[in-house]
Amino acid sequence: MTQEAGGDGEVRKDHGVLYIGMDLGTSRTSIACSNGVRETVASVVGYPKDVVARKLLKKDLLVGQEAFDNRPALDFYRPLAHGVIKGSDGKGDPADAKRNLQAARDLVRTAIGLAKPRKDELIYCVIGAPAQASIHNQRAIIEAAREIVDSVMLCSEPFSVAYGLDRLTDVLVVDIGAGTTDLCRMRGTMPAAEDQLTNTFAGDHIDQTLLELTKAKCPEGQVTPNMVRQWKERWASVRDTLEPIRVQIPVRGAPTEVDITDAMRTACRTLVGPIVDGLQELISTFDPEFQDRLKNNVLIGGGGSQIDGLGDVVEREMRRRLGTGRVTTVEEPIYAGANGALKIAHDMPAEYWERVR
Amino acid sequence: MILGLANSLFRLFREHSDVVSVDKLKKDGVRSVTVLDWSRIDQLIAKAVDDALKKRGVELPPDALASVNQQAREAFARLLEQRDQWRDSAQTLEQQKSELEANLHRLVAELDTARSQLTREKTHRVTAADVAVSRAQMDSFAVRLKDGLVDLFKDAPAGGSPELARAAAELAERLLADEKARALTAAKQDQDARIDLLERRIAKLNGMLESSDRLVERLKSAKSIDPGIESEFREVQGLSAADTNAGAKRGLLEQIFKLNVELREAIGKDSPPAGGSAAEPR
Ligand SMILES: Nc1ncnc2c1ncn2[C@@H]1O[C@H](COP(=O)(O)OP(=O)(O)O)[C@@H](O)[C@H]1O
Repeated sequence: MTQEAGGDGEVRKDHGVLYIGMDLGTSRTSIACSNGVRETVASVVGYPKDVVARKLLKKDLLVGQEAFDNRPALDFYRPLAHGVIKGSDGKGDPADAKRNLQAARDLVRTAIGLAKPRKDELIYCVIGAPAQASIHNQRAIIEAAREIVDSVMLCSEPFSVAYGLDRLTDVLVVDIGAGTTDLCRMRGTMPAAEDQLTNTFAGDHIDQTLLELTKAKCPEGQVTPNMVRQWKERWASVRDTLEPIRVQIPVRGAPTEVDITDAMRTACRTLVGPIVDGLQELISTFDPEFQDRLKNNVLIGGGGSQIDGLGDVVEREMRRRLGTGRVTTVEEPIYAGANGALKIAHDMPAEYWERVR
Repeated sequence: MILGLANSLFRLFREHSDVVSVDKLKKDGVRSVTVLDWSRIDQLIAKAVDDALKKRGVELPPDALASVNQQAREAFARLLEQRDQWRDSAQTLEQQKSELEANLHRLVAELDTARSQLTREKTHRVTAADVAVSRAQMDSFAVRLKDGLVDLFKDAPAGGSPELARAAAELAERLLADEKARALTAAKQDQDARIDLLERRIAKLNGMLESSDRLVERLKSAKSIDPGIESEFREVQGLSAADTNAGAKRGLLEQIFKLNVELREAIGKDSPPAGGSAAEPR
């Protein structure tokens, strides 16, 4: 199928082949493409609430940051709740499910549009979707993509991260997002339910802890979740020794300097224990002959992997509790999934693409 | 700082200043495009100001807040005005483009005419047969003949002689031949001048055509949707045999492919995708 369905005259797609790797995440959707484009958008979608809002916004559809920015004027959707398209499980209000599916379609379509594809190129797209996505979820994702691309394949998101870094098998992928940290043991390409663990010690948990610790330290100060998230994204670290972190907090209108170094370290370290618990569980239930390979093949990704020193501290904790451990943090957390999906798309033989068209 | 805040707020708005056309609004049932719900906008502004202040952890006394709100409203009004200006300049651009295109057509027509004129002039050089002696030339010829005859007869005896008559006839013939030669030369010079002019005109028209073409192209590419960015690849790639992990990767890729085939089958069973033909292989 081509983009010009129903149009007058089909576009000849004989100019080239554009590969798109997409990471369809709960909070971000990122693409990496064979024309050099790399883009990321927040996985949120909004539609103007009424004619006035539409006139004001001059748009029928807002995606990503601009949807956030205009939220009061919008019907607002986060179509990928817990990594799956909300409502595509056939549970809940059917009308709501329908709108969420539409939002997911618009998100996927917008993300592909960001690739700036040429009309005369074939578009082959691999989408890294959450490993736990149900058949309904996957169907919704595929249908959305199919409207625009010539051929699309799904793969599990942790696999695409691992493939992108040439860690092909017996690898443990830890994805630290906003709401959850997902751990996944990869043997082949598709983890089974018993290969996956999820906990809620993730970005938001750090924010919450940091907020509480800061408030305890400066009870009069006005601190918002947004402020602490920004501090975290700038200074997050688990290292034993840190440069002092000092922030300005308004106290009765006057900016006041507060040292949050220890609070930051403490908040960030709340993730380490649960991660190693999860790793231990996934390792101990694995084929004993391959357990050491797993221990030495841990990959940490996701926005939370940018916490300074996290790999070292997890490694240290693994050694202490499991005897050995080797941890790598992905270099580009935002694009690791998309980069891997792009590599898969590139490596996929032509006849496979043809057969899933 | 307050002004900076108002500005940054309105940078937000500015980023959303295209897409829905007046026509589209009309299609959507909006009859009068000037209808703007200012109270709603006011609310939005106040809310945006409030959010932005909260985000920065700033609390302002009521009068400062009112002043920020006022500035925000003013900035917003300016912004609306700017947007109209942009829309106008977009229309002007569109108009310029069609004018240019019309101009281009005229230029091409003119160039065609000039070219065929040139060919005609070059293939049909002026000859004596083409030269007609004009009335003015005849007049000047008559004057010169008369002068010549007066000269000739000046010392002649009255009644003349046959030699004299022959000399007079010769004089008349020579003068007439001179006149014709002069006319031919003039005609040839005229033609040369015309050819020269045509050639220069064609060169100039060609130049104009080229620059107009470039301009139209530029306008077109500025106006039309982005043609997209070309992929690095002309052909479908596939795993390179040189890849160090080719063997392992091949197996994994096959797994992914098979899972996707199964997925398609499951989807197909679940219910056929809307539109139908999408799953058909070529
Ligand atoms: N530099 C950073 N240091 C620590 N955490 C960060 C940093 N940048 C982003 N984050 C956090 O990462 C989380 C989002 O991770 P991401 O992988 O994008 O989300 P998800 O997997 O939920 O789609 C958020 O909690 C965000 O605050």
